[in-house]
Amino acid sequence: MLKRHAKRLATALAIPLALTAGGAAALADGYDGALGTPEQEAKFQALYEAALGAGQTRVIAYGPPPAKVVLDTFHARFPKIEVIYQQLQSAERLAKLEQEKQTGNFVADIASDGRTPVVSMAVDGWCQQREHIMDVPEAWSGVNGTVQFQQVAVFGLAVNTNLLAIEDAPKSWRELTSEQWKGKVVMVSPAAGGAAAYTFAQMDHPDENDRKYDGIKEGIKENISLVARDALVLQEVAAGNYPIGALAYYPYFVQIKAQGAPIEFVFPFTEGGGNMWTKSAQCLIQNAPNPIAADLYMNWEFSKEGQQTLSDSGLYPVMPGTPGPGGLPPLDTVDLMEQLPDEQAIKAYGPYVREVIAFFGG
Amino acid sequence: MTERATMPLVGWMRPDRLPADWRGERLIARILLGAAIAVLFVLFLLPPIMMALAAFRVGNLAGQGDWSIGPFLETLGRASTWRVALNSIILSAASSLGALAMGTFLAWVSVRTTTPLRRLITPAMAVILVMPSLFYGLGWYLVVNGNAAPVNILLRSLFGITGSPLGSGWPIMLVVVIGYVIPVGYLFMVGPMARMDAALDDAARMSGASRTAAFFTVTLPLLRPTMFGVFVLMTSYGFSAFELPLLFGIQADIHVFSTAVYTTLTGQDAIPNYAGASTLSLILMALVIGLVVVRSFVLGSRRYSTITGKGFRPEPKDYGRIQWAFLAVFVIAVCWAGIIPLAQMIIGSFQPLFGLSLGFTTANYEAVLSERRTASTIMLTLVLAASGGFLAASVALVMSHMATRGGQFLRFVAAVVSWAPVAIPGILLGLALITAYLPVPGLRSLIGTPFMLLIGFIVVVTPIATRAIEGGVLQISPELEESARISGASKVVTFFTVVVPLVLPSFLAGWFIAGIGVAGNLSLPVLLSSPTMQTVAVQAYDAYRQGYATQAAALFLLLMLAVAVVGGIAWGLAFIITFLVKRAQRTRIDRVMTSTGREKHA
Amino acid sequence: MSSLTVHSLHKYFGAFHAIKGADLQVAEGEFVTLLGESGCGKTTSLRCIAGLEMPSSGRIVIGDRVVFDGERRIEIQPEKRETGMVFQSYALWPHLTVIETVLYPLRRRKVNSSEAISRAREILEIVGLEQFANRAATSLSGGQQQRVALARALVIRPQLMLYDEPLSNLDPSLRRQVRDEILRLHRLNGTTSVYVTHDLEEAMHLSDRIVVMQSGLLEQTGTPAEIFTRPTNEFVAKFVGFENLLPARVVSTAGGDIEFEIDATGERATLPASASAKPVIAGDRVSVAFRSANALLHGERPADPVPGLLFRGTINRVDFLGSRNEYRIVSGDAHLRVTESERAYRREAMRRDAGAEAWVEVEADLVSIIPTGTADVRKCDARPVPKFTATGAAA
Repeated sequence: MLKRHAKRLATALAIPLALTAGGAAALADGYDGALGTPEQEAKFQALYEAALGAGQTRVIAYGPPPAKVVLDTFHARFPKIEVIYQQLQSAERLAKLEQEKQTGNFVADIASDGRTPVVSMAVDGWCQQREHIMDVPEAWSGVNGTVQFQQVAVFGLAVNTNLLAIEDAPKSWRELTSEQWKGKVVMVSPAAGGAAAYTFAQMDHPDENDRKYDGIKEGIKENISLVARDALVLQEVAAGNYPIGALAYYPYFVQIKAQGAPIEFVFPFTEGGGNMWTKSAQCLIQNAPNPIAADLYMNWEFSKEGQQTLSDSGLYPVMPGTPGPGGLPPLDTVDLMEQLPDEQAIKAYGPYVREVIAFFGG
Repeated sequence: MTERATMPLVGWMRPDRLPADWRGERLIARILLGAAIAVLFVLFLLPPIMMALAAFRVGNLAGQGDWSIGPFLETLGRASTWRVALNSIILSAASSLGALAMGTFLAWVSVRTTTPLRRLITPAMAVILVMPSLFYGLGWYLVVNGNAAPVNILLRSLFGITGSPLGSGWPIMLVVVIGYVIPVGYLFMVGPMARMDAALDDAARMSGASRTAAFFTVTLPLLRPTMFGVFVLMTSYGFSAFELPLLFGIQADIHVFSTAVYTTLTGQDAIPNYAGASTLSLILMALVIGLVVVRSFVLGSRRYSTITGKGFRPEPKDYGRIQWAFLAVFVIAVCWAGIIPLAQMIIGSFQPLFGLSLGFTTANYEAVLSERRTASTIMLTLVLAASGGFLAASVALVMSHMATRGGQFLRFVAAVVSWAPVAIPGILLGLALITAYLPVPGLRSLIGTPFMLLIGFIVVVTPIATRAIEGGVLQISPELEESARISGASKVVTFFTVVVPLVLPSFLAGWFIAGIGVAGNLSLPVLLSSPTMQTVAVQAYDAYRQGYATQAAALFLLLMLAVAVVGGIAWGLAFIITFLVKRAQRTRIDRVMTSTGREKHA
Repeated sequence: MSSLTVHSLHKYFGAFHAIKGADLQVAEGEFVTLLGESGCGKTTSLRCIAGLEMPSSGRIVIGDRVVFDGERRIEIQPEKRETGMVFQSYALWPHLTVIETVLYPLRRRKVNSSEAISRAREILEIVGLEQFANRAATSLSGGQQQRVALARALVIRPQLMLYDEPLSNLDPSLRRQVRDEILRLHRLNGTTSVYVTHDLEEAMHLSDRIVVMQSGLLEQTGTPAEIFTRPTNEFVAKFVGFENLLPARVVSTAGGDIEFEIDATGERATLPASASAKPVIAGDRVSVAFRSANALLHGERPADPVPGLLFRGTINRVDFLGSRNEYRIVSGDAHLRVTESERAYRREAMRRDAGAEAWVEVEADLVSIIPTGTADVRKCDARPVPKFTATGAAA
């Protein structure tokens, strides 16, 4: 938190500095390779100017916001554009977008969420096609170039090193189901839906996962204590109430670790089928009132600076070769759990998720 | 004249033309009333109707798309649906009863006894009410969960029990939920309790009832309308409670209705499962309708006016040494409902990580204060809460008054309007409003503006305000208004010079509770307003969901501080102004009286 | 000061016909009482006059102003009717002091502030409450509260004062006191007044004229003396205390006298025509009525009976009631009630046991003849069939 605090202070200083130095000067000097190659930076600059020229100084994104450091960095880079996130779950987002469509009073520029809701929207024709400034690999854009996947989040095992030496910690789900860890593991309840339910749904589907993870769900249910929220898992482990937190969300781990809590992260945490992960997705909404500014923001997320900032917030950057957050290996070197292709996944996982929720009592 | 005389003497008939009730001024009044009722129905009744219909439609918006009975049957066919509904009924009914009992008792202590510090009860409860359920829950969570939790340390040292045996399950869940709603119960009951004639109690005592018996046989039954209303309200809101059951139930495998609604709606489906979520909400609707019917059945058409305009003495009585026990109950309730979780929240706001002893920092406050929108968010929240609460309380007052003085039809309208929004689960509330209002021409263009937000808040909190106010209105005997009419006051003047002053304690309570309802609402601001106009609750909840619980705590504490400061100033000003006005009036009266007296003597 | 005219007033509550065509004329300065049992429509009538209830039809005129006319669709709101009203429950506002309560009607009429205060003070002086001016109105004793209510009603010098059983909530000793107060204030101001009560004595004491009501009908109107001595129907007779009502048939009406035959005894008697409030003709059915206290009891046939009624019977029952003795005497088929004052029974005590023979003598002046119709014989205690005509003082 102190680190973040320092960063924020720096940002707070940077904004007025940039303003006093004059936005024009900053534009003329380029970005000194902070974003990408000179050609790419020129494109960023052109986009920024175009946005300002069109009077687009505000970008509205519907979805859970990223860490503050991400927005702060963007605002420092492009001081005249403000990105505002509004936290809406998928049903609320759709209701609001539908209302905007019906009244013609468009507000939202970007839909930002996990893969399923955003890809579903793109399939339903809510999203605009875009060009990337950076060389984004095919895998990180989808539905005919309407959706981008700018980051990934990984889940692993958090261990309280005061209670358990990191080398003694279990390395796989199968180990975790052994009698040895009974009552020593805390996990967020899949019964409340969310990523936890999704994880177990993924263990059932596709079929190759189902074979590898057979019986894991049942074994886990025997061994673990459940808590209500992701943040509570790490809190319980950091406080020493449990030596192990399963399905720990890495960005939270980074936050808490930074405060000096005696915790370590077991990664990758696999079962031969790769580590648990989720894709984040964004799309530019049809009729967005600030399409250029929104495009700038979405492109910036793939820039060197954008990816680095995402990494700072504990998220996995997706651009090839970018190091993982907190010293984890780059994503392209990590063994990730098998998932169905995007457009298939949005329909296929629903029943499994419901099954998991019901299995855990919800 | 002759015409009349030739009429059959026995069979005098009412004229078959327009009856007298439907003519002239009354006709205009009726047309206005009809228009008002139409508006009320659109605003209040349409959302639950749309929600109910949505159970049978599959589409992008709740209540739109193709008709289908599949999700309805599928949802009702699930065993878990009924399990969570039963859990929720038990939880909400038990906690409502507990909180109502405790709140009523405290209200009685506060206004009918001379217990020391009794004047602090109302402000204490008001402050506690501002605390959001999230931090109330987290505060208690830390008290009973983990090795460092005070309760567990105690258990370990006394009995050698390790772990968090009391950390979850029914007992702690009930204790925590009851504690959370005690202030609500108290604030609902204190107004009506203050407006009861002590003679009614005395009469019971003289009829051979002990003090306790008098309380149970006279005081409580007279408060029945309020108590029933509040009970039904609390039960249905308890049904939608989300955060607390999640925190304390999930570990013990206790799942509740609201979680089911949430997971149904946000499950990993391509299209949100509105139909399933709406089907679930039908269960709540059935529950609310059932409770309201039971309520009107039990209350019947009996009269509950306790302010009759004669011998009115609401003075408190001295109950002797047992009042120290009352004080103890008050202190326990304040700790339970307020101090324990509030202390955790304050501590948490100075911690780098909520509830972890890693030292203290002011970084959270710095972060919140350096956020450019914090001040405007707090301002907006205060303005919305004050104005939305006031308007809702006014709507509630006017409707309760019309229902009490009007006929069966108006009573029915008021009941429908003041209960309909309660039948929608909290999570679906914003969705219900947006889908209901979208097709309505005038309202459609307001969506996204602060006006729509205000209207939405009024719709959502009017039921709360009504419960606080209707009991107070019922207590006013009709003669008090009739005597004002005879004294030359029009209906409107009578309303403001007699009804409003007499119902003021209940009105203020209703205003305050409704205002808190506005400030704490999470689903309306995101859906009905623009992204740049958000309330503290939404902001804080977002921060919490991103893992910044400490900053959320800091933000909320700033809001509570602002409420306390603004409320204190407003209260002080109101007090001083009434005092000055009254005194000026008195002196004028005295002056004229003495001078005419002198003239007489001279 | 204004007169009051109520014409053909009807009021329905749903299907219930609460007032069945009331006609009433109250002259300026007159004090008229509506007397009747609870539920007879008297309070509803008063509330219609006040404007608190809307009549189903009819016309109400205060002074020369029509305040309600069902046909012409006129309805003046209560606050515009310039009436004052005193309620059974006092209806004092708990949030106001005595002086504020009395000032309230003046303020509503925009009376200049200092004038209002001096008028309020004046009226409080009149009702003797000036020293309580700054007390909460509801903190006073019952009698004082009702005097505050009186002051509030009178302070605007209303065209018409309406009293809705103002004394029934007071204890008996206070009742007398406030009653005197009402009478005093009425004499002082001479305000036209309509007073509703179920208490005969109150009505007698206060009224210039009494209207007896039953089941939504005005049964009889007259001065207290008329009502008391010459009831025009059996209901009124019973209400004003005629315990003995003997069905009889008029035999002849010759020479200013009425000769009749009492059904129960078969005996004939003659009374002056003035004994009947209404003219009767031979063959009419009547009730011969007298109060138990107005009969004299004799152990043997009086040597020199006064003109009037004389019954021979047997004492059936004796009830000692302290200040008086009450006897049930069977004479033929008739059951008579006779009371005897302490003075009389002490003197005659020896001969007054159950089973003894007794003679009941009633002076002609103290007997009323009440026409009950021309139909066939009815039982002694049968109520008259309600007649759906409005009787009353209407011209």
